[in-house]
Amino acid sequence: MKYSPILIFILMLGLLPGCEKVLIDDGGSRDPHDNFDFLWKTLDEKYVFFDYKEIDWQAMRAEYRPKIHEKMGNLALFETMADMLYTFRDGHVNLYSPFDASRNWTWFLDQPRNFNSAIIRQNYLGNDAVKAGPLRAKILGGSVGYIYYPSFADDLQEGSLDSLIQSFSSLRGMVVDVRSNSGGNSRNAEMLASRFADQKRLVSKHLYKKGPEHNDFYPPREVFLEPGGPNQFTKPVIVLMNRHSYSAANHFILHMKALPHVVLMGDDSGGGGGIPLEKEMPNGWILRYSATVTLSPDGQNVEHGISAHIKMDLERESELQGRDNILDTAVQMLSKQ
Amino acid sequence: MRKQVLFIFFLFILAHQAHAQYGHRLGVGYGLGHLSWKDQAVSPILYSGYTSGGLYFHHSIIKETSFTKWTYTRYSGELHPSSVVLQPSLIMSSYHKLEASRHRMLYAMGPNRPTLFWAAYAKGQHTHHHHTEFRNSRNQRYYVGYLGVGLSVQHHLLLSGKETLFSAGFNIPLMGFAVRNSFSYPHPTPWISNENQGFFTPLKGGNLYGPLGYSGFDFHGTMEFPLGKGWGVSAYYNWDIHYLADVNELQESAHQFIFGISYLLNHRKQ
Repeated sequence: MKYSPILIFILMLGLLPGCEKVLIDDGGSRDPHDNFDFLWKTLDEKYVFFDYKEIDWQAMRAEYRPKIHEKMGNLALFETMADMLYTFRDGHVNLYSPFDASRNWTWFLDQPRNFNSAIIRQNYLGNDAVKAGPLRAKILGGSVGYIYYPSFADDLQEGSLDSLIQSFSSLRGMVVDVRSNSGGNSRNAEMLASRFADQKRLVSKHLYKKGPEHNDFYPPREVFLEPGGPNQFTKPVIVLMNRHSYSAANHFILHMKALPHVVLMGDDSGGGGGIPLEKEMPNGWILRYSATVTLSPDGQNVEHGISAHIKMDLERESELQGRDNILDTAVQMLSKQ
Repeated sequence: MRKQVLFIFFLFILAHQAHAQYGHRLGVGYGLGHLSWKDQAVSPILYSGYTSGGLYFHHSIIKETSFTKWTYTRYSGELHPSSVVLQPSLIMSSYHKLEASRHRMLYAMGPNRPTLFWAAYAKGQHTHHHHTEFRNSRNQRYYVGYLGVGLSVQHHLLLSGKETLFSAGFNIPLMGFAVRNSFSYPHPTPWISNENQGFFTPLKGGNLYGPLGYSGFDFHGTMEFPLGKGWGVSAYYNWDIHYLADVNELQESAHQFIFGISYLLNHRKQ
């Protein structure tokens, strides 16, 4: 019995981890009711646009929960949930499963396209456009800089952006094209906008939830845009946008709208003002939802988009001739500055 | 910054050493562990996986009837969903833990018999999880810590003819402190409401929790085997399980196994 304390000690070590499973359950569940209730409750507490979009969430539960039954398969469960989420008309509300991702893209699919990337690449940018990271740039009409940014998901590079702004500094104006840019990283939007900022300006207000009630928000947090990089372009700028300019592109447009030397042209933007976050479901699917509200400096909710200063559609005749009449008009306007 | 902190820490030890009346034991080591983690802020599913310690450091100030111990550990690893779910997912986890405890003798059972200590205990932990399947909410950071009390027992036994120290004990939190994500955003509330964000900003918006809000159990066991001339090897085990009754509940259970060497700077002056 000389080493009995050691034996007791070793036995304790062996027994203790066994207690862990009693104290913390694994939390996973494939039960359809569990997953439906989890989805409903998560959105009830964390989604931010119930009142703005006049969604009766209790009525949704009453309509869709009876459709859930224990023996339904994953596909049927997914489709029932997706149908319910479709009513949000929110591009940031998605359900991701291994076999599909739910979405509602009516905010641009049902609208005029107003953009033809093939025409831009073939007839405007061509072979000799500058490639500054994800940006494509070229001088059009001899005196106007044109920057095309296909996706804010592709990260900007500080150095190449600085170089581009510097090389365009002597031009009369600049066109920044974010048509059909469906978003990505909002930091890219802020970085690009900062190269056009003349001074520190209030560009938006953000609301974050602080509790489970639908309107439980902290006081608005003001967001400012400050000049970024060694040089800023503060001559006239036209931002081209369409209904497919969404999320981070909408964020960029909101920043640019606050600048006095910027004009927004084309169609209204697609919106997507809330920052989307993800949360896992008990069955491992991922639920994505708008978790914040973005307001313009005057308090307007930009979830459904930002209006263009100059409304213009891409004309069919122009497109057939391989031209983009919106871009041509913008270049013409800036050439006269 | 980390190097500066370590340098100041060593200066403190050396200054203390100059007036030392007591023994100082320094130890470094490497650890392996296992972490189970469930945070309702991002998932209802328990994630668990093996972790490894990038660094383990401890300093003990040993007096006649008491001792003080500082420990720093850093662990990281991959966590996987513990239940069978329909979409593969992964969390890259890392945490830094700083612990301080002050032990005083409660009862000496006699010569060559175990000694019982009570302890005042403080722990702070910064955790960073990176959820590979998420985008905007993939990075999650939080700070938790507590003040608590504990009991431990120490006993010297002959092992291979050398007087080896065995100790085991547990701590229970009395008061917790946590800086967590806001209600529905992965960043702590101060990052949302504070325009001028500094290094310590996240620590300004923490909440205090009583025993019902922050509860848990911390078991630890140590063996220190002397090699001679002040050197020794040590094996350390710690099981730390805690529960935070926040708006987004947090449950963590961490097992740590650490193996290291230690050195007794100066022996107790008689």
